[in-house]
Amino acid sequence: MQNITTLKWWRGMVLRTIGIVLIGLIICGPLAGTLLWSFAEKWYWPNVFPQEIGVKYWQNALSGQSQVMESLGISITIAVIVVLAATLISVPAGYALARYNLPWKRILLVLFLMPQAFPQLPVFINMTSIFYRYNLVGTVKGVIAVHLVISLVYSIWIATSTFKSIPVSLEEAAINLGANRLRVFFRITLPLAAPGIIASSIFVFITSLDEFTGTFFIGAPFIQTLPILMYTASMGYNMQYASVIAVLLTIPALVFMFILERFLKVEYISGLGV
Amino acid sequence: MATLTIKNLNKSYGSLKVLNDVNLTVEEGKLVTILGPSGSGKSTLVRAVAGFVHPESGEIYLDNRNITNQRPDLRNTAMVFQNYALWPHMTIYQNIAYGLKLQKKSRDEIEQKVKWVLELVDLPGLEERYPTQLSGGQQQRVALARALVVDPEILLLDEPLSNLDAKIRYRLRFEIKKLQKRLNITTIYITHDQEEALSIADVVILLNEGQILQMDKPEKIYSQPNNSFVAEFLGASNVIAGKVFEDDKGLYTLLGGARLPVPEGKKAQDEVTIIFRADEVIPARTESVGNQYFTINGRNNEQMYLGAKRRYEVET
Repeated sequence: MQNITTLKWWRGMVLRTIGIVLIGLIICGPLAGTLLWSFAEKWYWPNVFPQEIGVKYWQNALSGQSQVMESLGISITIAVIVVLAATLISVPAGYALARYNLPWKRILLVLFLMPQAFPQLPVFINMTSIFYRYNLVGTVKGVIAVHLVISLVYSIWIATSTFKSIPVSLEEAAINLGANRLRVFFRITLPLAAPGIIASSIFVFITSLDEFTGTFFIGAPFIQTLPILMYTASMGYNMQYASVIAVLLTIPALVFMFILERFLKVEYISGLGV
Repeated sequence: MATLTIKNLNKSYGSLKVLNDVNLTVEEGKLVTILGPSGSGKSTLVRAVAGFVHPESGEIYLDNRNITNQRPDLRNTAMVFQNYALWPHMTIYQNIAYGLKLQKKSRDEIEQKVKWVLELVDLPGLEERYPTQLSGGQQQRVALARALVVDPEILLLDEPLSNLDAKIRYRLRFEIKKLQKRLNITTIYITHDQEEALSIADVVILLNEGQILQMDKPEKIYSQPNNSFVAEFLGASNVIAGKVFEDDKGLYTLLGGARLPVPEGKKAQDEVTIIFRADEVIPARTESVGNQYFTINGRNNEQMYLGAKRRYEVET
């Protein structure tokens, strides 16, 4: 009896360990490969590990005048502007969609989903032809506009569900005690919505930082964001450079994911089914 | 403190009439409970007084001021919500002090009044806590304190105890009543619990489908309901349709062999409703209970044990 239980325990333990290792490999494998490549100074087939390891490419990439640093600057500038613009649009829009019975509410929300619903390439090709007319192609302004179109999907939906999750009675209680609408919004509603809005900002920031297709059509070759630079580098078989950029791009995503996990409450996600 | 007068108030949502020509007066310092089933319009009525609902027609007066079209934030009403509606990102102190800050009171005065009101609702020393750290009963006391501290002309309580469990509900009910009397504050108290309504009210208003069915003192509305709906809502379990008969001794109606009197104004063959309360009935097997009772004969079909009482189903 005792033996059978122990045996079962061991079998379960072994199976579980194998499962965890497999999952770990699937998730971390590609990342580990990238990390390895970024430090490899010489790595030819059929060697399993790099023949020479060093920080040459990191040094090059992180030195003051390198293209990586320049692209990082552009990418972050664009991402910050996109976050600000998306927040400025999505907070009032989300509030209105959550609180007021707007005509065409559903259609408006679906409209914001449109750029995601269609295959991206045709959307961006169409956008390029429109942006040409307004001289936005090849400009930072143009790239920001593309990122904004993509980001508004997330930020408006998240803002709407965030505001929906705040009971109206909390606002009414403040009005009842003599606060006008504006005061109520800034003292009651906005602080309560802050976690959701921060979460959506992080989403938007990461989306903008990683965005490739739209940036490629509108910005390249004049606007070299990090993903575009990575593409160029890997096309030129400069795997090390591409890997350094890939690692650089992963860092903010990882950091923000940790923050996000702390801020994003279940209510905000469950409110998404408008 | 003020007298509230509502005149011919009407409100519809689409084709649904939620307030149908409502007229009422709440005198200064009185506690009026509005009793009614859900969807009867009781919440809408109180929200119209607070200014969150705009009536289609009719007027609302506080003393002699017409406040019908006044902005809700400029009305001196204070509301307590069913879900407490405390602001979770503010401490208890900040929650209570908010209304005073809006009134531009000095810091000293705010501190004093918050201390005073927290003692009043029996929660001293909880200033620095956050609402989620308090129990439901405590949260509702804070909500009450937040409403009372601004010296409102009228206090509006929208099912304040519905989210609490029975024991706390029972205690808090009387505390609210005591506070209301002590501060002599005009109060409207919404509830769907008839016992709660009867036990604390100066006047009970029974509302159904947007109409006031009866407005009376608790004893009066309980013992002399205007119609069968009021009677049933106030806990009369026996509502039976009957018919008026006439013989040489006059008009009467029949139930289980008992000859029951008929109100004035009825004539033979009219429909009547016989209503009596369970607590006014003595179950007797065969013996006589004396002639101060009507004797209704019937067969006992079923019985149910309810703890303090027993429920019999009797067929005549």
